[in-house]
Amino acid sequence: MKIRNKLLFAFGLYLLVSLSLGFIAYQGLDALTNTQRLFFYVLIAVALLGAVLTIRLAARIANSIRNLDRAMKKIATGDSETREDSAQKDEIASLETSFREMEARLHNTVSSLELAVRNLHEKQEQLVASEELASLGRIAAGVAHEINNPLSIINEKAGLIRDIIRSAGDIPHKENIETTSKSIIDNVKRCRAITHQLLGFARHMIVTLEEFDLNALIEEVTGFLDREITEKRVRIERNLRAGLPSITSDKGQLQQVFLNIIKNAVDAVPEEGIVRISTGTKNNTGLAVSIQDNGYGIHQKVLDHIFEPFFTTKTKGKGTGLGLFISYGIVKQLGGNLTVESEIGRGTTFRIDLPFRVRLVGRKGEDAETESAHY
Amino acid sequence: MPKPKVLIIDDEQEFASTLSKRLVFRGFDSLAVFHAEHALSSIAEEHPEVVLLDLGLEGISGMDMLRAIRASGTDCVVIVLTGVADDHVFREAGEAGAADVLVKPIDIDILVERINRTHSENDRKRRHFPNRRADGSQ
Repeated sequence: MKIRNKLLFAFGLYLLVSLSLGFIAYQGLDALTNTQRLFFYVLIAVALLGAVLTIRLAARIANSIRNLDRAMKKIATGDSETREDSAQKDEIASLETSFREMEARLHNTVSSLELAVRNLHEKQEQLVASEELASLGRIAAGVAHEINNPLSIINEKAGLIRDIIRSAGDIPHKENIETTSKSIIDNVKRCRAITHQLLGFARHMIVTLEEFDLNALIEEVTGFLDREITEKRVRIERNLRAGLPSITSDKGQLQQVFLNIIKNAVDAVPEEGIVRISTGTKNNTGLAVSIQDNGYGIHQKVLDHIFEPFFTTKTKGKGTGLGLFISYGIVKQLGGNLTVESEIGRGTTFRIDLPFRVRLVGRKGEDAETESAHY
Repeated sequence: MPKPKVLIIDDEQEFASTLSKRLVFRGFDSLAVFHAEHALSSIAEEHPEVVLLDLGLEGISGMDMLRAIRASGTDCVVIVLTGVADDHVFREAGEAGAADVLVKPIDIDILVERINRTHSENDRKRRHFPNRRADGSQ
């Protein structure tokens, strides 16, 4: 029943009682008959009943308001609490129900916001990492591009010296000059390999996605290294998980990564060495590849620097020191991770983790595309 | 067949003049132009059969220069020289009318082979289709 009606009822009772009391007082209590005196006592009782009803009603209203107030304070401090349902079905009960609904919706909204903030933080970290990589790529491309000009000049000048000397008759030091100029040209070719690799690194800021089978890609890459593998009689052990879920990523760039790491493994093992390649899933979030060799192994001091640019332990002239640096950058940009473990005397294992699907951080890819067009 | 006349367009003077000398060494009639503004007039005056065009010219897009040469109606072959070994450069140069693309620093033997090849191809097409221009239009 509505509160208003409850109040009207109580008020009506009071009115009736007051009028009656007035009448009785007017008559004087002694002048009453027994029946009338009985009626008087009944009226007093009714008045008391009315008072009790009204006080209870007031108390109930005050209590509900206090409860709501306390509940609201708890929400403000981040607490949540369940309350019992109100027994009566009046406006107070309705208010409490509405309030509880609002509280539930507020709670859901807060949870959604917290999730959204977490996602944003993640995206921001990705963007920063991607921006750093893009800056690095731009610097690398700029340096490579600038160096190409004087490099081309050196190439032509040394070439001209060689041309002149070869066509000269018998002159002193002819052979010496010829071999020296050839050496200059060979070293220019080394520089060119580095600048091209740096320029290639800059281009990797552009990612092209497709869905493909990682096992098939690894088989393809192993095929490229067939000559080296057969020459050294290296044994390739394949532990490729059957029915591996397909991956959506940049196939061309991953091809480069696997080529780099598998070739390193083949180079690291002795004659008839073993390279073990395994694929599988990781945590249901992505794929995991491991490339293990039974070569000599890598010292911890070297491992600490192994992903740095221009860091190589190969003899001069072999390798640019950029392979692992670029591979690391590619894997990170594709949302994955590249790690290495090694034990001296036992060998080295490279692990590549990749998500099933690359989550691109959009804008940088477009920027890099515009950049490289200017070169 | 006599060796083709070669014109080099590149604003890196040391590079262009040395390359030109080396081509002369190998029996080519070769000269170099260092400023983009002189390129088209030099082509009109000297009538080279092969043009080596640097894509990284100062002040003008190499691709625009390439299109301008093709549009000028001359029947020369254009080989593009660039510092960037990029797929999209190869594609764009081809579409703009280049006969070949070479990446700097250049290997002179490969350059000579490409000059001879593109020139003889162009020559053959010219003899069979006398009204055809070097960019394929009539």
